[in-house]
Formats: sequence, structure tokens, C-alpha cells
Amino acid sequence: MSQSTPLLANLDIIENIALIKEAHEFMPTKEAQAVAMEALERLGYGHIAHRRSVDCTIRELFVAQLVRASMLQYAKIVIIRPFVMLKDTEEITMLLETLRAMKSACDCTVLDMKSNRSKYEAGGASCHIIG
Amino acid sequence: MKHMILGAIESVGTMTFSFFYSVYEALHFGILCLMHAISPRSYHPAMRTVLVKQIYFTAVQILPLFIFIGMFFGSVIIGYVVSLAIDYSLEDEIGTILVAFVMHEFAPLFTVMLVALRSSTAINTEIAVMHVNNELSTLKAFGINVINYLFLPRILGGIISIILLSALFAVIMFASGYLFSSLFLQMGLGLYMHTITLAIGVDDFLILLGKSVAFGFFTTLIPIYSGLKAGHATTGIPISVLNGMVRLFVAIFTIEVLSLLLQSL
Repeated sequence: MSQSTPLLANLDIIENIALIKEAHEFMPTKEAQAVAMEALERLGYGHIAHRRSVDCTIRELFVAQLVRASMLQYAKIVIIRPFVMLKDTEEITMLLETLRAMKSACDCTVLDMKSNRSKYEAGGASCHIIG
Repeated sequence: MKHMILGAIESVGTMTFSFFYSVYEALHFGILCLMHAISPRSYHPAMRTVLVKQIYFTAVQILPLFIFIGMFFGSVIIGYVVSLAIDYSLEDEIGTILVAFVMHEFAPLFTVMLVALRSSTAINTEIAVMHVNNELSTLKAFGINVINYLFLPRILGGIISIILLSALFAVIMFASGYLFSSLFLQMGLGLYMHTITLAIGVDDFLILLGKSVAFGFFTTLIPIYSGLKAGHATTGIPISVLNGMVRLFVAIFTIEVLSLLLQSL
């Protein structure tokens, strides 16, 4: 996931997330939306399920994109420069907490710039350097 | 002078080439979409949801306006046709005239005009915006086939909607026809129904169906194709809609002319 993979503007957050299961696994809409809701609630973001992306904060959009990516079977999520999406390097705590909470559901890798390495290290994590 | 003439010839050649190339590209794209239509793998739950929404937006939301315009214009035009038939002593042929006029021409053409103005512009804009916002590339990145999820339901929805709306328009016009026949010819409902039933043949239904399918296919395919040509700047969106609508109206009139030629054979 990166800044160039936005959510679809004409769908709710829950529809965006459920779409992956519907298209890949032919999962019925209600069932896929229940799975999406469960994933959102696990991260404490169940309240954004029926919002459109324009009504969400940057943090909520990031979480929604992350949950959407986790819906892919055997997902290995690669997050490219998360602070470009989050707009603020102070969001490192939230980012690492969310990634730790997601750890049981999928494998996440962060690609970031050398200048941000210390932020991950301070939080007891690491990132892959892309430049 | 020589350079100007050569330049003019070159620009005419370029325009002709690009016209035929875009026709070829749009048809190729249409065939690709049709090939996806025959695969059961294309019909996943998300696609079916988009299909239902498309039919709702195209054929159901428009109903009050459609019925009002159908009754208003239909009554006036049918009234004119009936009075013209009486003027030329064609009372015996009134059934055949009404069937040919309504089912072959007016119902599908009027329906496609309304749908083109309302839904095709919306489809063109939506696809162009999605293209500019990288939403189409997001779908590809997630392994979701955009033809199955976005294009096919819109094309099928357009075809189904135009078939249903054309049939409804024909019914409204025949009802108007009864109104005027009873006023001008003192024709009872039984006799009117008998006249129309005698005049209608299987070929009339086939023409209505064939034209509706062709119109439905192109009123959705061309806006989608134009939306995909929007480029990556927001300034490309209005240009894409403008070009899409011009292409669409050229296609509608081409289909109309071709169908008239085919019927006259």
C-alpha cells in the first residue's frame, strides 16, 4: 500500500474492504462485510465502517487501507513510505501500534527513507531503507 | 503555399487515421468486454452489486421523468401521426403505421437519447475521475479485474435498462395511440387492441430488441472508453466527457442510419 493506492471514493470504507474478499473469493457481500467489520473493530476503528473516504481523517484512511490490504489471502503487506500517507512523522507510535495489532493477521513490511530509520528504532521496530 | 497544402493534407490524414484508430480501439475494447461477459468467473458478488446499482440508477431512478416525458411527447407525436394517417386516408393502415413508428424508431431512439444525456455522462465522468485518482490502478494492484468489476456491469446494466425502458416507452405510446384513435376515429379499445395485435409481428420485437441492445451497448461502452482516455490531470475530465458525448451521438446516429438501411433491404 502507498499513496498511489487510494480507497475507492464511491464506496464506503466497509465496502472498500469487503470488495477484496468478494472479488477474489466470491464471498457473499454480507459475509465479506462482516469479516471487514471484525477487522476494523479489532483495531478500534469500527465507527468508520459506513463513512466515505472524504469523511475520514488521515489516520482513519491509513488504517482502512491497511485493513483492505490484509483482506488478500496469504497477504504480505508492503507499506511504502507510510509518513507520506500519514503526513506527520509524529504518527510513528500509532503506526507501530497498528502494525503490531495486525501482526497476527498478516505479515507487514515497511519501506522508508534512511532519514526515518531512527523513528522506527526508537519504537523498537525496523524498516527497510529505499533511499 | 505548397507547404500549406501539404500541411492541410497531412492534418486531414492524421485526423482520419486517428478517427479510424479510435473506432478500432473502442470496438476491440468492446469485444474484450463481451468475452468477459461469457465467463462465469466475471460474475462475482461485487460485480453483481454494481450491476444492480447500475440498473437502478439507469432504469429505475429515471422512471418518473421518463413516464412523464413519454406521455407528454408520446401523446403529441402519436396524435400527429394518427391525424396525418387520417388526412391521407390511411385509417386501415393505422396499426402498421403505429407499430413501425413506435417499435422501430421512436421508442428505442427516444430512450437512448434520455439515457445518453443522463447516464452516459455520469459513467464517462465517473470512469475519468477514477482514472485520474489512480483508483483504476489501485484495483489492478489488488488483482481485481476492472473489466469484470467496473465495465461489464455498466455495459450489461445499460443494455438491460434500455431494453426495459424502450419496451415501457412503446407501451406508453401505444396507450397514447389508443387515446387519439378513440378521439379521432371513435375506435373502441377492443378494436384498437385487435388492430395493433394484427400489425405486430415477431420481426417488430426483434427490431426493437436489436436496436435496444446496440444502443445499450454503445451508450455505456463509449463513455467508459472515453473516461479511460482522460489522462492523469483533472483538466482532462471535462475534455473526456465532451469527446465521449460527441462520439456517442455519432454512434447513435450511425446505428440509426444502419438500421434504416437494413430495414429497407
